[in-house]
Amino acid sequence: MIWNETKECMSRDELSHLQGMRLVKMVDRVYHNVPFYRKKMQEMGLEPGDIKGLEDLVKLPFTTKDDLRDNYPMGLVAVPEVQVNRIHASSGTTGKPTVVAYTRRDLEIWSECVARGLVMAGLSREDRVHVAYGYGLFTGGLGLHDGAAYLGATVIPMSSGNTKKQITLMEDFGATALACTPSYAMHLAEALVEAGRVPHIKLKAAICGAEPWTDAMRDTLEGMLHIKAYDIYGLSEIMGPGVAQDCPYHKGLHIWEDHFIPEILDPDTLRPAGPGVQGELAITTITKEALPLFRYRTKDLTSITYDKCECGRTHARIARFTGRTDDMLIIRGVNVFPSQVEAALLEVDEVLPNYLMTVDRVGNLDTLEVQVEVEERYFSDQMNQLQGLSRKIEHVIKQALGIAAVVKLVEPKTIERSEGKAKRVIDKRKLK
Amino acid sequence: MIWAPEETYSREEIQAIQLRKLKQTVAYIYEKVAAYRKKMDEAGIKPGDVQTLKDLEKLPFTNKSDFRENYPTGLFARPRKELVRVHASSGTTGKPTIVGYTRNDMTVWTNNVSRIACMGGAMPDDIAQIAFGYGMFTGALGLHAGLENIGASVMPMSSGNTKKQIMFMQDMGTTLLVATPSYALHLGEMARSMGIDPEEDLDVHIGLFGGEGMTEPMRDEMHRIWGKRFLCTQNYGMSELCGPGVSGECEYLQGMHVNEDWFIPEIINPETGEVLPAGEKGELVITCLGKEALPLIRYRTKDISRLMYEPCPCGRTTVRMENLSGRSDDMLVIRGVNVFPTQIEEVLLQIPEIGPHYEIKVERKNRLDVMSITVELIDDRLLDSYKKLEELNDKIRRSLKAILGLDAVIQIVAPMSLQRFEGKAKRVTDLRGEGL
Amino acid sequence: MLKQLAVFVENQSGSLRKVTTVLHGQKLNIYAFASFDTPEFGILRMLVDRPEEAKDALTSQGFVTRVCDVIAVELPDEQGGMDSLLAALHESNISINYTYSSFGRMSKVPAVVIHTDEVFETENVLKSKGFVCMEGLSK
Repeated sequence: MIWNETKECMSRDELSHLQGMRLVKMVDRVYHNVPFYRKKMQEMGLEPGDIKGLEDLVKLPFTTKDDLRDNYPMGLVAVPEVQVNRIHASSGTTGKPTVVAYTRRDLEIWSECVARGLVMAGLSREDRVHVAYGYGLFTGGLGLHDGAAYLGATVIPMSSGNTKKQITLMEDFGATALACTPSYAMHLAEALVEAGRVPHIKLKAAICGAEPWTDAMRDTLEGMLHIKAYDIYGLSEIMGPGVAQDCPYHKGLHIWEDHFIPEILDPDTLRPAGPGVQGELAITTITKEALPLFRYRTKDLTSITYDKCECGRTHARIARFTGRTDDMLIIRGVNVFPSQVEAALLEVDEVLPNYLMTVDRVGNLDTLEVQVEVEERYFSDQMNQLQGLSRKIEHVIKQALGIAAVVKLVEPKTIERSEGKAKRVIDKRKLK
Repeated sequence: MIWAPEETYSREEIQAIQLRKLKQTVAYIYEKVAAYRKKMDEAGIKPGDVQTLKDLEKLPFTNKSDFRENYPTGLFARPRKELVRVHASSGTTGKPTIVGYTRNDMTVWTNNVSRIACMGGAMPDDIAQIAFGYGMFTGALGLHAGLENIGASVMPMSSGNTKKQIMFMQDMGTTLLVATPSYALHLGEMARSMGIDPEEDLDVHIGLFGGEGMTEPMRDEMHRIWGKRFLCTQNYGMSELCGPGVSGECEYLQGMHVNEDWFIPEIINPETGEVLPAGEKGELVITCLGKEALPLIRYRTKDISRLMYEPCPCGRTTVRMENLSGRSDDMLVIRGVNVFPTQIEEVLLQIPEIGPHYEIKVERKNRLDVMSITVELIDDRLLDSYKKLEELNDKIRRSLKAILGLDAVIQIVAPMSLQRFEGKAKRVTDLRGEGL
Repeated sequence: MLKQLAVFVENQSGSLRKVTTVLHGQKLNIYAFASFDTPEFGILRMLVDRPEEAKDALTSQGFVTRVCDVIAVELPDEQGGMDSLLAALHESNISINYTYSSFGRMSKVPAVVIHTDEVFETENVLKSKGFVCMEGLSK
């Protein structure tokens, strides 16, 4: 099944034409409504009229996460505040989050993009979608929620955590699809297998995203639960989940080109690379009203193909991600920058901002341990005081990152100092 | 702003709507829901016997236990494929109470919440920060949809992370806060402790509170912390009925207007079940009108209130229910979460290392509810190391969290240290007093 | 090897005394005693002359108690004694769960009470390295 055949199966010519048209209109609107882009374009000697079609995309300036930070919170928003209908946020590189906004129309397009993916995964309005992404400012939960509702399926808004309850409801209510991070899907699968409950569930598909995973993980997950699993991609700056997703042929993720123009950039020269070449993905939004972005550098490494897919859809496919061009970590589906931990530790007087993060995967769940050096004069001989201190730091880190960490207090000067850039992160996870 | 014309209908018009919908609802539930049909048959009542609103009294009650006995979806009137949403709330034991909605139910629910939001002063240009926990709990997604529906900017903060909540209030210019009243007090005090004067430095001027009752001393405290101009209203609902959207306070703060074209409230004597005259205090019983997925007739809410039919200066003609003044059962509301002591007992009985006696204590510290549960250790093998004792503590905490969705402080004490009771055990001590 | 008595005590004033009162009532002698500043609950660990009898007495008063094996190593009262003991354990890859000190009534030298995951093996290792492990508390 294809949700929106007119759009999803457009010929390349039609698609390019549509993209060109939408791009021209968007550039004009952005130039007149977003001072940041106007200034950037003026500095480059660009007028909106210089963008006449798709081929002029390369003339436009890039946008980075720093631009969003510098214009925090709503400096890049292109509509009056009263038209903003929803606000989400994701991790910023420091203490302040990256805030994104949506108009009513943006929310509708987002829902449709997610619904396209759900249909691509074989779901229909008769399905029951168990959403185990975290709900809240993170776009994962509400993105899948709204998409499944748009499709007309039954939405079960479980949110994350509480595996026991998830299993009870999955079984008792008979969910047919699961949406969550791939590692949590694996964790649920293991719990189901261990409890011998797999024969009692009715799942047929899983839509997983928000962190990288591999085909081998997909095979394992599919085998354990006897389901089909799909990879959904997105980032809140662009929209949230549903920017791209793979079809049953699993030969890359279809990116919805009637709303987003993808480019692959050579990481060194930032020049567009051809199809099949590995590089950084940049995305230009062409229908977003509240937060339109030119050539947003995602920092995700991938390659692209424009070949027509066996499923009949014509939209370009991006390959599974092979890494990042920055030091961002994805832990339990949450984006974490080491600089956030550093900023958080500065709030705690008793410790030095010397830390070492160890990320591991235990039974499919990511764990984060942070070693922190205690200042000499705060070293206490009372066990409960030291325990209180670790709890305080755990709390501060949780507040900053949104995920729990185990804090291990160590004596001063035990964390290795390096001459140049300190090694702050040990990532022991191996994507199996 | 009054969202719907039905809110200002004359008593005759409202009653005409109620009677028409009641007849439909009774016929519908009799046809579609076997469990309720059985109840009606046993009481010797046919749908045709309901000819006036007064005839409602003849119909049997629905209780929370009916949900348990018909778990998971035995009370549903529509097949699962017609549902577009499912929510769940605490059951009296380990299994939750599952509720469902058709697309039409969602529209009605959303509009009912929009009405309540407007009663509380919400406007399309508001920036609404929702600090209820998102997920299976109906509060967050209910208010989310209702506020989005009127055109406000919705910030789905979810619960917790107080500093971040305050940062967003400052940075985004939040004008409207959705939270439990005790969390709102905590947020305000935390802001003050960070050197932020909510009245001067924040734009928050509307509070839509629910999830737990707000007493008048709490409201006074709210004004002291958030400023005199802070319009704080409370609203009422429960997931069995739809979620939030059953009733809410308007700016005159004289009780919560019931959306009477969708809900018929009655007040009964909880002991005898007889309907009490208007103005008397008793247990609130609600009949849902026109609900497709989960119609409910005479649902016993166990909340104690009183109905007031006098006109309200706001222009709404709908009946108002007084602030809740307790429960007719032993349910506790802790951080907005409904907790039944039976749920806790069921969990504790499954843990062999501890004895069958326990004590639940609920207090309010820094405006937040804290539940502590004391249990008696009986397994001497745990004395080998602190680690084992801590693991037991953790195991109890996690098992309770899985069922209740709440963290509790677990205290392990020696056997025979808890009080024994001859008759009915008194397991719960609620020290929260007037809600401050 | 010696028998150690462990008693669960709540973190509140007077709780240690309740235990000692019971022991005193039974005319039991305490040879070593350890408690720590753990926040929520405490395990009081003791060497007493008749552990089983102490256990019965405490259990009858509603305490949760447990008797388990520990090692008490006699150390000559001189510098470096503790260090050599720890070195011996470390060489054999044995981790200590906890220690506290006592005194050998018969030998008149200090003793260290040690608990490890494998008490029996630990004692053998120590004996083979020439350490003296107490077998009883009094004559």
